[in-house]
Amino acid sequence: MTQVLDAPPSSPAASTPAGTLTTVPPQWSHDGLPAWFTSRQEEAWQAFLALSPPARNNEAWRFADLKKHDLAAFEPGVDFERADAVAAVTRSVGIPSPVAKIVLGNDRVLDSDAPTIAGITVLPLAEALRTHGDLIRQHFMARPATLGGEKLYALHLAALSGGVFIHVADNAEIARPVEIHQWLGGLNASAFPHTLVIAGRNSKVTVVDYFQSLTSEPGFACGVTDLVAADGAKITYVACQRWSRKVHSHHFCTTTTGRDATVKSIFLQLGAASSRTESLCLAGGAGSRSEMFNLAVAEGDQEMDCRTRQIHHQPHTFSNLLFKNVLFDRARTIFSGLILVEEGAHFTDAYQTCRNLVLSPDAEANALPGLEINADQVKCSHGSTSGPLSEDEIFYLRSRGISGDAARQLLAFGFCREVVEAIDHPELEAAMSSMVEEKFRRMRKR
Amino acid sequence: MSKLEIKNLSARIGEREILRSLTLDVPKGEVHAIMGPNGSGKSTLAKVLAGHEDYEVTGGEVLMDGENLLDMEVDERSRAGFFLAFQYPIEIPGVSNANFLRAALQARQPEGVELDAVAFYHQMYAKMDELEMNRSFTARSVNEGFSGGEKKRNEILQMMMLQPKYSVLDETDSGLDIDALKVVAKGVNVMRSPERGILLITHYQRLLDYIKPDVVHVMVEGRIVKSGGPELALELESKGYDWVREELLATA
Amino acid sequence: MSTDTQNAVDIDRSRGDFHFPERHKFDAGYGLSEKTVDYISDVKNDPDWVREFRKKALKVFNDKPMPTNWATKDLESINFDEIRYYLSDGEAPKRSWDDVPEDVKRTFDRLGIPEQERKFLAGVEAQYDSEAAYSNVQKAVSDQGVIFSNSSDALKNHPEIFRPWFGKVIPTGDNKFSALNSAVFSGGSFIYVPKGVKVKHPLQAYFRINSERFGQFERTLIIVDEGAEVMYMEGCTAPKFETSTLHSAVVELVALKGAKIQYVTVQNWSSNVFNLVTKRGIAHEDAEVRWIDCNIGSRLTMKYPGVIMKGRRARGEVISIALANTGQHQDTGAKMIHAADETTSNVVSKSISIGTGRATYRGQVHIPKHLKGCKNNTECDALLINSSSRTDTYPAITVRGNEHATQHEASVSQVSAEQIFYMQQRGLSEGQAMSLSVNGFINDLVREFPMEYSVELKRLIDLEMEGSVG
Repeated sequence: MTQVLDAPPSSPAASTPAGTLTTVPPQWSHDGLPAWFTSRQEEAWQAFLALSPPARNNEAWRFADLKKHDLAAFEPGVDFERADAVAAVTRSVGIPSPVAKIVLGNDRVLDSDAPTIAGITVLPLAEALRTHGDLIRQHFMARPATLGGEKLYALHLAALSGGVFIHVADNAEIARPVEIHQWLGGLNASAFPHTLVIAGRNSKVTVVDYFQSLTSEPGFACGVTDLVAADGAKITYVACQRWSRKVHSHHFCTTTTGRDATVKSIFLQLGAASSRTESLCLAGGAGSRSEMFNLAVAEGDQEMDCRTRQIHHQPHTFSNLLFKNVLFDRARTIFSGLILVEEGAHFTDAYQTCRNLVLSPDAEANALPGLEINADQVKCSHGSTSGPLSEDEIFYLRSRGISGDAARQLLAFGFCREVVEAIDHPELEAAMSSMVEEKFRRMRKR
Repeated sequence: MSKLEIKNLSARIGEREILRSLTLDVPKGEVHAIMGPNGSGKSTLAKVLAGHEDYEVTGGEVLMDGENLLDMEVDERSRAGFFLAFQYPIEIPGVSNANFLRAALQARQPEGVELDAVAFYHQMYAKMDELEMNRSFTARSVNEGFSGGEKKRNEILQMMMLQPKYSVLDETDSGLDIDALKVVAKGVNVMRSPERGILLITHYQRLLDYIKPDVVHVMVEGRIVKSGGPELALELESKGYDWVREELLATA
Repeated sequence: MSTDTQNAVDIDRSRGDFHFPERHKFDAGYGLSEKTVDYISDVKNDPDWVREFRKKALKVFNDKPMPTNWATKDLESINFDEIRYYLSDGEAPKRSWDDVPEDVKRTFDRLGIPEQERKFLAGVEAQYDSEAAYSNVQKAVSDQGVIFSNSSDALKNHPEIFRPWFGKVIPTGDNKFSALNSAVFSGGSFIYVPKGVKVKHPLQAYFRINSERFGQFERTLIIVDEGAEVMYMEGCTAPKFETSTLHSAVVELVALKGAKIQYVTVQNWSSNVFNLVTKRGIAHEDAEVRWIDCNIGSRLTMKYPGVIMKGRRARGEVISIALANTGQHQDTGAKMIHAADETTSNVVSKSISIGTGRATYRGQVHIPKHLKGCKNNTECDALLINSSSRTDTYPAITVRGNEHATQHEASVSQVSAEQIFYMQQRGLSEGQAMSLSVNGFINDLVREFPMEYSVELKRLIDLEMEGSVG
């Protein structure tokens, strides 16, 4: 294992004077970074300043609590104290023997266990920009944000100093997952996690991102995941969001599929005060499959806001989306999704399903499913349901001697299984399942 | 004149040549069977005769009682008396079987003549009884949610109602259990008539145990390579198609 | 669609041979100002409170932006200065049946429109000869205490009944177009059905066409008292030949305790018309409001009938069929606002897009906190006929609390080439096969329309389908 805990701060951002995120421009390190990258960062800062914050009448923010998106209180993250770094690394436990593992704290690499097998490269983004600059340039944040978070997307790019780059060579099939642990720590600290996965032709890889807080202090996270699958490649991406309950989180995920490629993304949303994801899948090459899954378990006054778009711009492509929300207490969830079949994207199969399990009288589930069809010979559908657990099912379990509370837990957990099972990797499923169970368990103890 | 004459028919789909100068006569009053290995072009023949637009006829002609079939649109062929029982009958959501049959029969009426609804139902129920079909079936959408056997029975019912001059039954026995097969065969046998020619397309001898053909043809690589009596089917069943191929090679 | 059919269903007004001189006794002129509103109030001899109501509405209309932040930009092509806001024919226009183009007459024939109605519809007779029918209906219902009148008369003669509800279901400021209607409304029906009265026959807007023609800005208010029932029908399947390009109606329904209202609309606008309509009903305890709606034609229709379920066990329903042909955009949907326990709502919407036609579904289902046992079911299905046809679906569903169940399903499908081939093999022409499929798609909804409408509707849809295949 490469210990980098004692390494000096790698980015000048560490010495940034305290100030809020919105007023002090990030201090970019130009050291060895390609010019295109630094100039994009500078442009992004200007764009961030110029763009107006989300407004009430903006359809892309319909139903969202805009108070939860005020950035004024947050500051750029500072380096972890040594003890904190050790704690973070120690607590970064995923599944046994991942092919590679990187631990970051407030965007600084705390620990890195590089892959030892051929065909895969896993590097901190800053380093990869020096070694794989041209490849990254082609795919790095190549799509503008269009689902409402334009300003935050610009901020992410401007403030980006961490991030992980994963490249899989053509025809390389990587059996074990790559693990990334992203930690946030410090009062009002912010982090900008970034994961770029580029899978070469006919390659295969699984990547897991863990998002966690070191403490329960308020914070802000604004992350980007870009998944690029070349012809015939298959990417499985799992994001497990367990920020502390005072963190405001915003995440952008964009997937691009080549011919006969498959990209599957699975998001588990368990933590944060508010968590908004904007997910875009571009079903490109013929025969490609894009699958998007999301499971949110929301309690207290958590707000889970998911905006999605499935864009089909080529014929013979497939996409499927399944977003599930479990709502306790005063939780609010928003699902707003659109299937967009562009002109000429004939023979598209696109499906979208949102299911809300509402378990409290004070919870609120909003669903805005959508279809826009501009092509021929398409099969598209969307479905959305909201409701409580079935009394018949509870009765059935009780008739077998299970208590009412236990029956409800069992059924609610059963509701979540469908998303977890989509991971289709027994060890990862077990790991994710236990995170969901843990949240249920914690709530039971209250 | 009273026959379905297929003369040197060639057809392709895209760049792929499937029928290669196929010649075959089905006279009225007779039942012919075409047997052949998978991919020999049997189903293509059925679709080309019906006029499916995916196939391009590149040569030859088809005459039905002297009339040029290939000159007609799909629906004209049907109204002229050509019937195809589909291997995979299509589901048509929202359109009930009764309405569909009525529309098909109405299309055969002279302009301005309304189909007699009472007589229609009377006739339909009688045929359904013969095919052991439940009455509730009339209100269901065409083939939607039907089992394999129900779909095939429905094809036979349509044939019985439309009273075609020539029928091609494409793999009607596939997907049928033995009981359903007997019912379907019974329906076909009822349709045997001096006024009608029937062409059965099948992969197995099984169907021919219940519907005795007058002539059996063997189709290989897009053409008829051998014809004979019902005994030919038995021979194929026991020896397989390789035997025909080898014989072909020997004579080539 | 073939040009012939297009012309048959939609009059091409650019053709010189179908031009009628217009003479109106009252004409508010072009453009909209306080003067226009005064003119209308003067002509209609409005009570002062109505005049005030109109003026306030005009201000709201002027202040409100176009809803283009969510709706189509095509709205911006409306030029409010080029519209005449009030026309009333004091004298009947003199047109001859012989002036009506042959293809229009043929369309009437094929739709089976009765002789008298044809003349009215073609603008030959502004006075649709239904005087007898109207007075019969009038007499029959007024014996039961039913008030069936036009808006101006009702507000003058029965303010105690209509004023408390007027503009209450749909406030002036609900949207830009409800404000516009509130400023310049004329025409429409006002109906009051007293307690326990079940009106046997459907009331039709037809019956009182003679007293005031269909307005561009009609205003309808139907109040059905406790335990009473009524069915109201507006429009007809025949194409409406309109010279005005903007139609903006407001329809308010009030179903008091245990009352039942069914509001049936079949409209077939010519394709130059912007049809921007606000329709909403309030259902009190155990009451039911059903909107049964069929939209054909127009350049742009925006219409989302709503039901506010205010009383316990109230029910709301929207059944809608939209057919968008080339050059047309049907932007329709439903709003279901649950405001009491155990309220249930149902939305079934089917759209067909032909040629370059575009059908959009927008829905809103709102179930707030602290309610119990609310249910909503929404189904919206779209059928695309041609490769250039398009459809969009944008529902919005908010559920608060764990005592409710909602379910939304949407699908997009197409009549496949294999289906058509199969039917053709059975002897149907391509057109017949397509028509059978399309009718199969909407059959279950057509059945919800009154008998006489459903027959015409089927014929009309067949007519619209012509030329869309091949």
